[in-house]
Amino acid sequence: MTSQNAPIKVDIWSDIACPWCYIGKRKFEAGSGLFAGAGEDRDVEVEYHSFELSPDTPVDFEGGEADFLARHKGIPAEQAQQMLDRVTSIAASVGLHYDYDNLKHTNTVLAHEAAHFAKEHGKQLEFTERLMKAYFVEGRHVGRVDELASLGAEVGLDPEELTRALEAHTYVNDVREDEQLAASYGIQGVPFFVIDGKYGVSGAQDADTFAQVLEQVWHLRNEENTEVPA
Amino acid sequence: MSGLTPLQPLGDPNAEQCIDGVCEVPTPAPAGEATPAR
Repeated sequence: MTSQNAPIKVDIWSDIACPWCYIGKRKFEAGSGLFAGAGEDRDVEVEYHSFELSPDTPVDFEGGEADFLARHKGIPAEQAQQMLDRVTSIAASVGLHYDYDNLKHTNTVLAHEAAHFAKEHGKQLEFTERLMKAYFVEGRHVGRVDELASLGAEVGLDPEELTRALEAHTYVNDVREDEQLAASYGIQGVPFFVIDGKYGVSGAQDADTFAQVLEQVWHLRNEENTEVPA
Repeated sequence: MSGLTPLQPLGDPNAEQCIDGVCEVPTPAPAGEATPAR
């Protein structure tokens, strides 16, 4: 039984280099805001988890995102560009201005390690947002230690301590544990939202849908807590 | 890890997501047809 007054726990699996994850983040934030505004005792606690969409990506990929999709995923260049144009348009609809012309496609494992460092230092939510903005909007290279340390400093992390942790790969096992847990849940794509450890929501749902799902879980909790044992 | 309770799916099963590095947008279906799976 979950305490009626405890926040609803939402575990989110995502990758920094996942366009739907950043869009889904915005929509989830809007949806959880709607849910929280619907009444008292509607709190949500969020924890992000690592998921690498393309762990075979080199740190320094020569070429743009469409080139990557063409070379690594076998998608014709014209179709890849159309996909990027569509996702850019949808991102703009939630206030995110993706800049694929300047995006630095890279391996994201080091960024995930940095995110675990941020989690341990109480800055996970701020740093996750900073990473995604850096990657999709600002064209920053999130596969490099110096860039990650600089971004970490912007959210109040110690850049020297973060640099040491990244060079020693202190948090790589935390990344792997997140990915193993995702596999145990059967998660194949991201973003993916696990609510109260019992309910699974896949993809960048509309804000209204997120709000409805949270409301549904909140009511299910209340029903559990008011059931009289036989 | 084993022994996890299977998750109960909620929400729209066709919401956009990235799988294996590919993040295709579902193509809107013509009127009267179901939305194609990605």
